Amino acid sequence: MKPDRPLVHVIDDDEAVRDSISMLLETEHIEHAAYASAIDFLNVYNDTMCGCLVLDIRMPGMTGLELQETLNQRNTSLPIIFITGHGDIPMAVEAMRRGALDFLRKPFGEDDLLQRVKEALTRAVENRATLEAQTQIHEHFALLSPRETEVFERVASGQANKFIAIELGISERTVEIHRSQVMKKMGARSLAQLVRMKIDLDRAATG
Amino acid sequence: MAIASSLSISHDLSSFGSRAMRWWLPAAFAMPATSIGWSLFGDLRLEVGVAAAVLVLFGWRGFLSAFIGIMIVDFALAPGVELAVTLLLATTLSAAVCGLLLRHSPALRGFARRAPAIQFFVATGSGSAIGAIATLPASDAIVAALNLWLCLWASALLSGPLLIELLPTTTQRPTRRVPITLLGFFGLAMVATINVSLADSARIPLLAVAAMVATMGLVIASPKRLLLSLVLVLIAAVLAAATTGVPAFTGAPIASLVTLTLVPLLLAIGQADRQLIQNHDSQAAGESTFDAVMRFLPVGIFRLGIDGRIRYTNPMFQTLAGLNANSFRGWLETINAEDRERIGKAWEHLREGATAFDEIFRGGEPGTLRWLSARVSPEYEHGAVVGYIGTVSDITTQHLAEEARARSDAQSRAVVDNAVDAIVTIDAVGTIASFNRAAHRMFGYPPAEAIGQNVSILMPELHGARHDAYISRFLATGEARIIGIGRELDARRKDGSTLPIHLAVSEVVVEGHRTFTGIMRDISLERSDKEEIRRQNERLSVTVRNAPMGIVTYRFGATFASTNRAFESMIGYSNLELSKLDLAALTQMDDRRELKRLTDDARSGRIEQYSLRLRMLHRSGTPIHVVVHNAITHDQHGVPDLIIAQIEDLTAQMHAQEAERIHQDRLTHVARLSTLGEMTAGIAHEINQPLTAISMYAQSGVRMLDAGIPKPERLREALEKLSAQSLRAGAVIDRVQRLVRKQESSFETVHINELIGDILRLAESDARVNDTQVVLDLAGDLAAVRADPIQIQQVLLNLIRNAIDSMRGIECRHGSVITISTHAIDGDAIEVAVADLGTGVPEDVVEKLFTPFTTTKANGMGMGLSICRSIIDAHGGQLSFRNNPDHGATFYFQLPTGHSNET
Repeated sequence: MKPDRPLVHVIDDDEAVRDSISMLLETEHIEHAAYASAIDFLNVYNDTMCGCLVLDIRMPGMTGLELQETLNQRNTSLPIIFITGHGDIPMAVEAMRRGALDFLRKPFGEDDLLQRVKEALTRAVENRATLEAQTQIHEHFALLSPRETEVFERVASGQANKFIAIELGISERTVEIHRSQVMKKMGARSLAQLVRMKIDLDRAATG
Repeated sequence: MAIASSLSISHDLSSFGSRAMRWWLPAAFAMPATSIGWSLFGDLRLEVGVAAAVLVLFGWRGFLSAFIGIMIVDFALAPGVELAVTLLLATTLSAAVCGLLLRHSPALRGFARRAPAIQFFVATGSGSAIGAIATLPASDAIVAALNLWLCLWASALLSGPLLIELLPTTTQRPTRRVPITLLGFFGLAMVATINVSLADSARIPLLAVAAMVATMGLVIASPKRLLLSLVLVLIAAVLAAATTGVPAFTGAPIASLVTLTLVPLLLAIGQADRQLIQNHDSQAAGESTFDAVMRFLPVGIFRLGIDGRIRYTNPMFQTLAGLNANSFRGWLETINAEDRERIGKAWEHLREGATAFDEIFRGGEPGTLRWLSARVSPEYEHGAVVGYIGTVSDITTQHLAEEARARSDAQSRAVVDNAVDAIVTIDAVGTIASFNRAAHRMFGYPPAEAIGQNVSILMPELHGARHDAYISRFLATGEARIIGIGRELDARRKDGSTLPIHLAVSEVVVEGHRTFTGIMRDISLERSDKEEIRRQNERLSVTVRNAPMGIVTYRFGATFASTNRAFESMIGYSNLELSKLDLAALTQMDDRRELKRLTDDARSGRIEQYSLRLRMLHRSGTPIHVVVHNAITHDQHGVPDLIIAQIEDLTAQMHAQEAERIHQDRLTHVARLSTLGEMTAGIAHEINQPLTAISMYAQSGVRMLDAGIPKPERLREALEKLSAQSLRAGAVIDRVQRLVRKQESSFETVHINELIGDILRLAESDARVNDTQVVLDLAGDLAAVRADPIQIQQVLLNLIRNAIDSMRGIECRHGSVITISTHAIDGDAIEVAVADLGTGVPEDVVEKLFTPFTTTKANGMGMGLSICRSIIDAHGGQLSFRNNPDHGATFYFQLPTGHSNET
């Protein structure tokens, strides 16, 4: 999978707003793409996309919030900066609750926008890294044998080898062997790292 | 009986003679003639003719007298008794023949009637001839008879005119007396001459003529003429003797002697008789005067016996009644059949004891019809009726005139009687002479009762007492108070009540008599009509005077003719002051031209009534807004004359309207603000968009500059876009501001589609904010409307807002689309509709949807639609709604395009 360069996706039905934001981003040499509607964006969207969204909430057809919902369902981690000329509080709260990076009321200062964009891009990169890491964990986790998985669960939960051996009815030595095998397969360099992987996996399982 | 008939004729001649003359004159005439005849001829040829003539001339009594005279002479001179008997027979026979001739020859009779002298000679000649034939030997007799016959006939013809002139048998006497008289004498002389020349013996005709001349002299009783005639006879005799060679007096000295002796005797007798007549005349109305009167009287006089036979008639009676009647009955047979029975009855009535007969009837033949008036009275002697005496006169002329007058009178009377007006004529002293039917009706007096009374009975007592004085004054001074003028006054009825009349009196002078004709008309109705009119006028004037509206009248171009109280208080001038002012003077300068234009139109008859708004000036200088309703009245020629103007003071009304309008404007404004308030999100969005863009472009520019490597094209682009966005923002603000601005409504010519496009820029963002789609379905080529654009936009905005709101609810599941459509209706209006897919209007709100403070919104004011409706009402349209068959509702309104031509 080829990691794309991070891109700022400007989505606004108002052409002037779209154009002016584009021009501003250009002056900062931030790569960007502009879309007149949410549908236009979805047409080019793919999971590997990296970057952030500057998204107008009120648009004919699909609104910004609907787009956010769609992307969330697709487990996309593209950070979204909402811009709106009509900022009512409930709407902003809803957007934030759904994981929006920020909510800017038009008109906004260019610094605010750029700062958020940059932040978002950073976040996007991070996100992408995190995403990649987690993907790795899952991949690694998939490699574990059932016994290794049992051992992983218990190690990550902080159980001592002795208790694990008793619980599983195997020897302590065997536990140690599985444990090292797990550490190896999961790519964890420390127990702490393993624990975090376990948390990520649990989160992924529940979220 | 022939003799009786000739008797009646003989009245003509005998009537002029006295009674004494009738007895002795025939004898005095006959005796010398007989003796001459005996002495000359030795026979009785002459006395026979004389006897016949006497019979004709003097009737039976004359004949008897002459006959006795002749008998005495005969018996004295005749040589035997047989001759005397022969004489008697011959005389009687000749008289009878003569009478028959006259009776049975109408021509002869008529001739004789006109010329009694001819009658005389005819009788004489005929009688003499017969006498001669009867008594002489055949040859001698024929010669002598023919000789005598011719002689007498010629004498009669020639002397006729003379005798007509001398004898008053006709009413018309010839005026040229002397020539005719001379001619007559000359004629006689010629006859004598002829006789002499023809006869073997001159003495016979000569002496016969001489005797006749003597007789005529006796008859005419003129000695001078007698002498003249004797001289002529002598001359004739001498001439005859000279021509024939026979001596005039040869063989006849005795006859000549007798003749000459007799002449003075006859003269003496004639004179004695004349004397007698004159004496008689001088003592009393002489009988000859009576006869003359009878003869000349233009009235027919007749006397009847107790048996009805006619005893006496005068010539006029014969003319009128005809000659055939010898009794009253006989006469009646000749009168007009239609009248016969009536007259017969009247006559019988008279005979049965009535005291008078006075009838008018028609007599004469058809074609010569005559109207006769006959009066007959009984004649009494010792208290017993012994006969009847009567008169008959020809009244044809009078009757026809009378009839004509009666007809004309009847017509006049009919006119007068049937006249609607009472017509009363009075004479110069005020006595009523005629009184027509209408007068009877009006006053209650029957004509018979009124006629003869003084006209003052028709007058109220005050006037009545003075009326005689009025007439006297008029007659004295000729100064008319009523005559020819006519006036209204009171009259009195028979029952004493009075009534108002109009009296016209004319004076008529007929045959020197002044009469006055009064024509009276009952005017009580007119008067009550007048009173009614007066009351109406009073009511009207009180009404006008106290009307709450100003009412004035004026003639074209003139000052006010009348003004009422309301107008006076409206304008602040008194009635008197206004009478010197006109409408234009009280009108503000700006409005005068319009006033003049309309007034001129009215004056020329182009318009009959008109209304206009004027600003007038109160006395204080304050303007008064009025509306003036003018109506034109016309004079009797139909020319516009007077203007009646009702002036309504609109100032208070206008103030109220103004206040109402301001209030409405405020309310509308508040509603507008409220609507805008609801739209702030959309509006803010709409403004924030360009502001955002502006900000971005500006910063882009700044950063380009900061970067130190300015790209002029990009910078320029940024700035231009920035500028455009600022304008865009400004436009939004403008739009909002227009709606927010508090301004009076002002109508302009607008195109509804443009208005919709304009307001949509504001509404769209609101719609967008609410995820509502706006669809336009606008008709092209819509007529412009006269409208206040802000208010119409307000209505549109309101409807769009409502539509958006109706589709925002959770229960709305049919999408959020607003369709705004326009289309023309019937060419003179357009309709704008705003349809949504919302919940529609709930049933319980439908009724009061447009009433204020009705709302379905949680925080709505409930003013929007109410104000929208009043705005559309003010534009002459109507705002309505309907629930759509599928989803939502449609609100729509019409705007008239009719006014668009004005600008």
